Amino acid sequence: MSHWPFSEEHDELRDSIRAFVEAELAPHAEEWEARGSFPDRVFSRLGELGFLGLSYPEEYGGGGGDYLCNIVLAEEMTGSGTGGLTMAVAVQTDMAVPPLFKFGTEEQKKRYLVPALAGEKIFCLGISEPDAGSDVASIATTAKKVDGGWLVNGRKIFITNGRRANVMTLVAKTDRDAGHQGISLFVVDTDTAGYKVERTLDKVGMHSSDTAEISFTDMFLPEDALLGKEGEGFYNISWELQGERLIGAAGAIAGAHRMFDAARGYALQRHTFGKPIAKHQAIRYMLADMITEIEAAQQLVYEAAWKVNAGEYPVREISMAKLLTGEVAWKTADRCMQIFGGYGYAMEFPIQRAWRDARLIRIGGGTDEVMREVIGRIEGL
Amino acid sequence: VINGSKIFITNGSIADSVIVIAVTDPDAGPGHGVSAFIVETDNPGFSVGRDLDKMGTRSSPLSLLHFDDCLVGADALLGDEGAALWQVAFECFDWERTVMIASSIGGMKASLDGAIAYARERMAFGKPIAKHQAIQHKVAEMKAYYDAARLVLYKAAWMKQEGLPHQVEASVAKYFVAEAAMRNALEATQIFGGYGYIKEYPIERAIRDAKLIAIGGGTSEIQKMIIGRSLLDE
Repeated sequence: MSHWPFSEEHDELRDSIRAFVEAELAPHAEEWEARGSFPDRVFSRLGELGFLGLSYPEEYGGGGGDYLCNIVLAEEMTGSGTGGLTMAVAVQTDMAVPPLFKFGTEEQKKRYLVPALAGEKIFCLGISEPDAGSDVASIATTAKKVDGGWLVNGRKIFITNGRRANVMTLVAKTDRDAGHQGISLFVVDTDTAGYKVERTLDKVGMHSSDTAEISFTDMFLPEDALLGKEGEGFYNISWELQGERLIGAAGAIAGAHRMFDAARGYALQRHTFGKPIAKHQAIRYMLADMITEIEAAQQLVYEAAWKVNAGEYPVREISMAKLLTGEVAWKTADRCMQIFGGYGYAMEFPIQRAWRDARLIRIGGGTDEVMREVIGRIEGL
Repeated sequence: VINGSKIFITNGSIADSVIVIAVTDPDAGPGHGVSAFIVETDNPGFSVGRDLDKMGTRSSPLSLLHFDDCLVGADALLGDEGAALWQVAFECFDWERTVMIASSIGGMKASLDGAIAYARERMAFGKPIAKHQAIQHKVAEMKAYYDAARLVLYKAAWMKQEGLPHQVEASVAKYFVAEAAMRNALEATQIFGGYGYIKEYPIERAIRDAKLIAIGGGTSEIQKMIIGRSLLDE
C-alpha cells in the first residue's frame, strides 16, 4: 500500500526517478562536487524524461500530474548524493518557473515555459540583493518605465544557476514610493545587453550548484518582459516563496533520512569497547531520537503538501515545515557526523558533504528567523 | 621493532619525531601492555602514508603513518614499559582537553565580535538587525556561552597548573567548550545569513573548525562517559 499522501502512480514515478538518479547522477557526485558544477546536459536529460514538468499541463509539454509528483522528485533527487544538484533542479521546477505558469501570458508561456519544461532553457530566480533578502520589500533594483519598455539597474546575489541560466525571473522595484505595491516581476533573457554575471560565490556546501552575483546596468527590457501585473510582484513572489520553502523542506527531510540510514549502518559496523557502537545506549538513543524527529518533520511536510495539492494556500504549515525540517536536518547531519567520528570529519566519507549542504536549509529560502516571524504573525502575535 | 599504522595524526607529515603508543604485551589485559616510544621520522621503517583531506582546521596537516619493521633503540622507550596508557596517553589527553581547546575560546571571541559588528550594520525591515530582539537574544546567548566556556576551561587549566587531579574537569571543559563553540559558530552564521554561508567571510570557517572540538582528542561521548563514570561508579 502506498504511504499517505501518495498513490500507486506516485510510487511508480518514484521508482523510475530513483532508477535514473542511481544510474545517471549518483555515479558523478564526486566529480561534479569537485568541479563546482554539473553539466547543463543534466537539465535536458531531466526534460527528456519529463521530470521537469511533472505537474504542468500537457499542452506545455508537462506531465499533467499533481503537486505531489514534485515532492516525489525532490525526495528522490537527494539520492544523487549532492545537495547542490538537487537544489539547482528545484530552482528550475519549483522556484523560478512556477511564476511564469501562474502569472505569465499565453505568449510568455509558449516562449519560456515550454523550453523550461524541456530543459532547453535553464532558469534562475533573482530576489536576494547584497542588502536585502527575506525582507523583499527593501530591494533596491529598479525598473524604470521608459519608451517601449523598462530600464533596469541593480544587483542580485546568491543566485543559484546564476552562471549558466538562460532566463531569470526577476524581482524589481517599479515604484520606489509605493512600498509593497511598488514591486513587479519580469522575465529576462540573460543575454540581454546590460545583464552581467559578476562572479561566482564560493560556499560552505552545495558545491555542485553554481551561485553567482549578477548586475544590471541600464538593462532595457521590452514591455512584454513584465510578468504578471505591475505592482503585484511582492504578492506574487510571496506566493512563489511558499513553493520554494515546501520543496526545500521535502528535499531536506529526505536527505536527513539518507544520512540516518548511513549512520545506522556505520553504527552497526564500528566497534568500541568490545561491541558495535549501536549497542551503546548513547549511540542507540541518538539514532532513535533522530529517526523520531525525521518522521515527525516528514509528516508536517506531507500535511502541507497535501493541502497544496488540494488547492489550499497553507502558509502556516509551509513555514512550520521549513523551520522544523531545517532544524531537524541540521541536527541529524551533526549527530551523524558525531557517529562517524574522525571518519566523519575527513573528506572521504559522504557525511561531511551532507553536513555542509544541510546547513543551508536554515538560511536559504528565508531563514529560520523569518519562518518564526511568519508563524508568529499568523498566530496573531 | 614497531609494526602498524596510525590515522588522524596532526602534524604527521611535517613532524621530526613521533611519540608512538604501541602494544608491547598483547596478553596483559585492557589498559596494560601498552608502551610509548619516541620515533625519529628519518627512521627507515617509518613512512607517511598520505595527508587526509578534512572539512575544517585546514591549515594543519592530518596524516596516516606507517611503521614497517621500524627498529628503535632501548632508549626510545618513554616512561615505563606497559604503563603508557596511564603515564603518556591520559597525560596527553589532559593536555589536549585543557590546552588545545583554548584556541576555540579565541575563535568564539572572534565570532562574537564579528556578529556584533555585522548586526549593527545590516538592515532588515527598516532597522539594523541588532535592534530586532531575536538577534539581541542570540548575541546575549553567545556572550553567556562564551564566558561560561572560558571559565570552565580556566578552571581545568588552573587545576592542572596547581598540580591537582583534573581528569574530570578536563573532560567537563572539553565537552562544554565543544558544545559552546559549535553553538556560537552556528549562531554567528545565522546572524550573517547568506554571507555566513559563503567563503568570503570567516564565519563559515568557524563552524567547520568548531566541529572538530566535539570529535578530536576524544569525542564528546567519551567525555560524557568519563564524567558519568566519575559520578556514578562506586
